[in-house]
Amino acid sequence: MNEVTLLAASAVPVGKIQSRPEAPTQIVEHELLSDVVSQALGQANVDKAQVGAMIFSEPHIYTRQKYFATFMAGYMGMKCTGGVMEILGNGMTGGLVFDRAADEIRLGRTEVALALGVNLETAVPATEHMNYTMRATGDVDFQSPAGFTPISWYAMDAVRYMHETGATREQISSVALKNRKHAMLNPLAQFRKPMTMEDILAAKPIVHPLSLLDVPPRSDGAVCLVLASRRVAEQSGRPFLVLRGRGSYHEGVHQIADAPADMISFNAAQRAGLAVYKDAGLTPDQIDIAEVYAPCTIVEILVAEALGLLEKGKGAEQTERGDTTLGGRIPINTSGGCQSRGHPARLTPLYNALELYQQLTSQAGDRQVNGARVGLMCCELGNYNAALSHILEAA
Amino acid sequence: MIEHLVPMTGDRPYPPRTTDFTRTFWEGLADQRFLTTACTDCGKKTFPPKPICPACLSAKVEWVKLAGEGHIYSFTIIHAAPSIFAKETPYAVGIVDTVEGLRLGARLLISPDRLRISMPVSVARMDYDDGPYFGFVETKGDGADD
Repeated sequence: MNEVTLLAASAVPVGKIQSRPEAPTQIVEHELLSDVVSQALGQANVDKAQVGAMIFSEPHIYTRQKYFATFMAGYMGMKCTGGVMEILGNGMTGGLVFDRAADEIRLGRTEVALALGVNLETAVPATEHMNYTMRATGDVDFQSPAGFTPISWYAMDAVRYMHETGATREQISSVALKNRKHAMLNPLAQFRKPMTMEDILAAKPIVHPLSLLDVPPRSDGAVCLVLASRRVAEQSGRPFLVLRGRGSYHEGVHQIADAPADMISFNAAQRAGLAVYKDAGLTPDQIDIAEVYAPCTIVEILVAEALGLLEKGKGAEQTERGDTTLGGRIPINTSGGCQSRGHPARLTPLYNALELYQQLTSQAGDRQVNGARVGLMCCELGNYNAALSHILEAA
Repeated sequence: MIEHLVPMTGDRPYPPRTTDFTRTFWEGLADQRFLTTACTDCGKKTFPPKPICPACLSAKVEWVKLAGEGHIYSFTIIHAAPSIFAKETPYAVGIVDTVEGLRLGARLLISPDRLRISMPVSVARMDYDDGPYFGFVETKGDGADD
């Protein structure tokens, strides 16, 4: 098996990019992404001809160009010996894209693979978008007709967590406050203005007990990662990360188990965590920073607990006291997380990998975690029914 | 027997599909019976009803009645809903653990200020103009502490 490196990462700032249908001048998917690919290859110092695989996240249904991967191979004139394909796996999509691109190198099908995609959805109102997304997070005959929304499951995690641990709403929402502080230092973040706890508590209720500022915004984005063999990475003369470990687990559940179980232990994240630590030969206390897929504030707490980064049942309290803030014991989501960096859902794990790349290669500017060498990322689908985690280390 | 019949306004926002297999469930609901399937090989009950057993993958299953009683494991109140559900907002949904040891997700036809974890609940038939769906109401005579 060949060693895999992350050699470059480029993206547009997360935000509202998608054109309204009636706009006389349109922003289109292939122009947006090909520009990001060009930047990423320049940053990696590799030639276009070296790219032998391109793994895309599948664009939303609102994206006009279909068969997007093969269209892009033509648009950019890419000849590939490895896979050219699109992947869809709900919130895990970007993680699976990264994973598959890494496999292309691991298996020796190419020495350079791109993990990339566009997410364009913000011109579609949230209430319309949910008519579609509710079908992905529930049984469409036996649950969705009750009116469950994707984040309603996380809200039920929050209600249960508060019941079991005595955590307060403010402690849970301190995740959003912390993430906003981080985003203010991230040029790629969607929301960079100062925010207070009063703002969070006064914001429009979305799903009890979560308000507009506890839940993810609507976001567009475009991102391209360059993964390479160690040989190519060393030849490039550029800084890079080495993929140290990988772990995944699907608990065989879609949203909720069909028998009573501990919903908030996020056991898929626990199992994926055990696997990734074992694969990397590391323990949670050896992780310097983590970028976790956490659409809502409560989710960041629960996944950090499941991965052993925060203490079980104390994650909200530990977040409030600053353990996961820049300068704290284990900085989490220095990008600003889903709430403030933004959440282009099908790319979020790729933006998380980009943050690890910038941090671990000391290119994170004002939000740099000094001396950070080892980073963990983790993504999920459903109500963390499945989790996929990777550990990267500075070369 | 489903005792609680709750009148709803208009048609079901997102009506479920009926198959040859699930027709037994939906006709049962219309007839005030709350049904699911149990495996005749390993005995496992499951919800929603399935033509195979998720525990042992046997295809030998039988229809059984559920008591329609349980308690709330967790809940939320949805203020921002898909547009097709907008006319019902705000509404409560929750996770109900039944006396048979099943867990299901359903609408909670309970006032938000009364909702609490562990509240005993009973199945209800939601009567829309175009057909029924199922949800849960607070169990009558509930003496549990608030």
